[in-house]
Amino acid sequence: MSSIKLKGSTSGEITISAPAVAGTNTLTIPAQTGNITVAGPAFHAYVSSNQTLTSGVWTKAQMDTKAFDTDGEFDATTNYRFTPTVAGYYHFMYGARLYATSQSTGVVAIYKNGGGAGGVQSNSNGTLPNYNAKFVSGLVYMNGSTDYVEAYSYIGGTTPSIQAGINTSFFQGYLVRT
Amino acid sequence: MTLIEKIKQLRPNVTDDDFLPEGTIMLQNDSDGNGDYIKEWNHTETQPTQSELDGV
Repeated sequence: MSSIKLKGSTSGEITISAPAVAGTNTLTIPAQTGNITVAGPAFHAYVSSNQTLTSGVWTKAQMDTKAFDTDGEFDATTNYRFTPTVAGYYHFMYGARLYATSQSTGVVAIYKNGGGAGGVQSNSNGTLPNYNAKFVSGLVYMNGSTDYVEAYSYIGGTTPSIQAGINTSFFQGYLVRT
Repeated sequence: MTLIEKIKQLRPNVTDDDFLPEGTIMLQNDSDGNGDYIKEWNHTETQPTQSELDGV
C-alpha cells in the first residue's frame, strides 16, 4: 500500500494511504480554506421513564439514558444537556410523545444556552387530545467550549407527561460541518 | 397549589391564556430539583415577588 506522510513543523504527522483494493479512485480536495471533518460527535439520548410535567410550564426533558454518545459529551445524569468540544454546525432533533388527559397545546423546543434564542422550536402548537408526537429539528452553531443545548416541552392540559422510550421521546444530534 | 394557581390568586387579571406559549408569562422548570419558576414576565400586572408567592 502506497502512502504519503506529512510531518508537522514541530511534532505529529498525518499519513494518507491508498486502500488495498483494485481500481483507480480520485480524491479531490475543494478549492477553499477549511478543515476536513473526519468523524464528529454524535449522540442519542432518551427519556427512560415517563416524566410528569406541570401544566403550562416549560420543562426540561430528563434525557437520562443514552443509546450512544460517541464523544461522551451528553450529560444524562445532572443537566441533561449536550456540550460539544468540537466547534461547528450541528443538526439536532428532539422528538417527544406528549400526553395530557384534556385537549390542550403541546410544543417542543431545543434551547441553546438556556433560552430559545439561537435554538429552535416546533412551529405548530398541535393540540393534544391524548397522545401526540411532536418533533423539532434544526441546524445550530456550537462554539465547542461553552455552548450547550437542551430539550424542553410545554403541555397545557391536565395530567401532562412525556412518554418514555428510546424511540418515543429522544434527543439526537451530530456535527454536520466545522 | 401550583405556581400558576398562586399567580392567578395574587393577580386576578392574569388568565390561563397568559401562560400559553405565545402568552405574556413564561414559566419554566429546569428539572434540577428547584421546581417551577417565572422565566419571563411581560404582563401589564406587576410580577409577584418570591415573598408574595411563598405567602400563598
